[in-house]
Amino acid sequence: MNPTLCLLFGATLISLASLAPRSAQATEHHFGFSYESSVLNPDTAEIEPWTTVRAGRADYYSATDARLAFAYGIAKNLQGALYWNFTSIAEDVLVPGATQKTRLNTSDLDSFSLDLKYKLSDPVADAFGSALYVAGTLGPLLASVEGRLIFDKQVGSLLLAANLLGTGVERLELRSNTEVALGALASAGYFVTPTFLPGLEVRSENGVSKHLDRSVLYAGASVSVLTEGWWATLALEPQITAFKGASSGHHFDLTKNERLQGRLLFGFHI
Amino acid sequence: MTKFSLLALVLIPVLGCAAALPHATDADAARVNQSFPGASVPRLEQGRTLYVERCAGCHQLREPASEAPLAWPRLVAEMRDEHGVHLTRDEEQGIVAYLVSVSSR
Repeated sequence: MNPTLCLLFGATLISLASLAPRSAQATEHHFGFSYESSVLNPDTAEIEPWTTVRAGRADYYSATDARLAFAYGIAKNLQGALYWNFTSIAEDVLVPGATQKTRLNTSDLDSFSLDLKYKLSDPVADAFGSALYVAGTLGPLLASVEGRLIFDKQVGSLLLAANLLGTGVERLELRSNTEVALGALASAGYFVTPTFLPGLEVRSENGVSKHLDRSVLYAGASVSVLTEGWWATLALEPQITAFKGASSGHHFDLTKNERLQGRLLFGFHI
Repeated sequence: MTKFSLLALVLIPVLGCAAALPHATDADAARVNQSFPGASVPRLEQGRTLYVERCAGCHQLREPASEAPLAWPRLVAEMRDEHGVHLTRDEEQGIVAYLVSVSSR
């Protein structure tokens, strides 16, 4: 699906859903990229389709990452999820020997992932909410592992979240060294009504090999709605600046990062 | 990255200093003793524990002060009747007593 259409579709659904009655569930993602400490109750489950669009590099580049997750409450405070990752990329590349760039389209079911989240404390009952998160991904071309420290707090109608994360990715086809990425995310949202939460999110993504190779900052807005049987969140985040690794003539990194990233998430209770 | 590490270092203690779900006090127990005979700090604290254990698994907890005290019995009954929450009469009374007592402060 065209990324713009996908986001418009999501915005329309979210607008309609904001009119629906609320029944909050514990696993809503109120922000596009930051995770929160809540987990599913034991023996409850959710289907979560996610779509992430990434567009705008030095040459034409448009990518859609789709993820279909099945999340399940394994035990008290412990949730697991299994998900399928699909990627579709359209980009201009210079084929060896050619004089002009060619637009290359690729679509793949690129990997399966498994994640676990363990809730350590609650964002309302305790001084702050916290959780540990770990995810492993394996596909024909890549293997990766991600870990996160999750913190959140709800004070009245104000919701805050912060994540610290580390990722290691091995590109199997390249037999390359592991790519390591470190990141930090901070988000704040306000429950305008119990069903509707607009928010702001800032995130820093950093690529490290022996040294810090690239460091970019994304920031943007999100909206989240909750309904009786499902929730939805839409986030749009342009790249604000590249502290390191900026492309020549820009203050953005347009080689490994994009001008704009957006994410549309749904969760359906089953 | 350094800037964000600093932000995280600032944010985490700020979150840590934020208010948690209130604990019951003698004053809370005295205030609701007429409506909930036998209310005591240990019993209200038991209600707090039940509120966290039974409610936080399905939805984000609401701060007691977010509703008027008289609204809580109806809201808890709604969760039981409309959302299939299994609570014994004692558990429900305990949760309600805690919520009513601390939201009346």
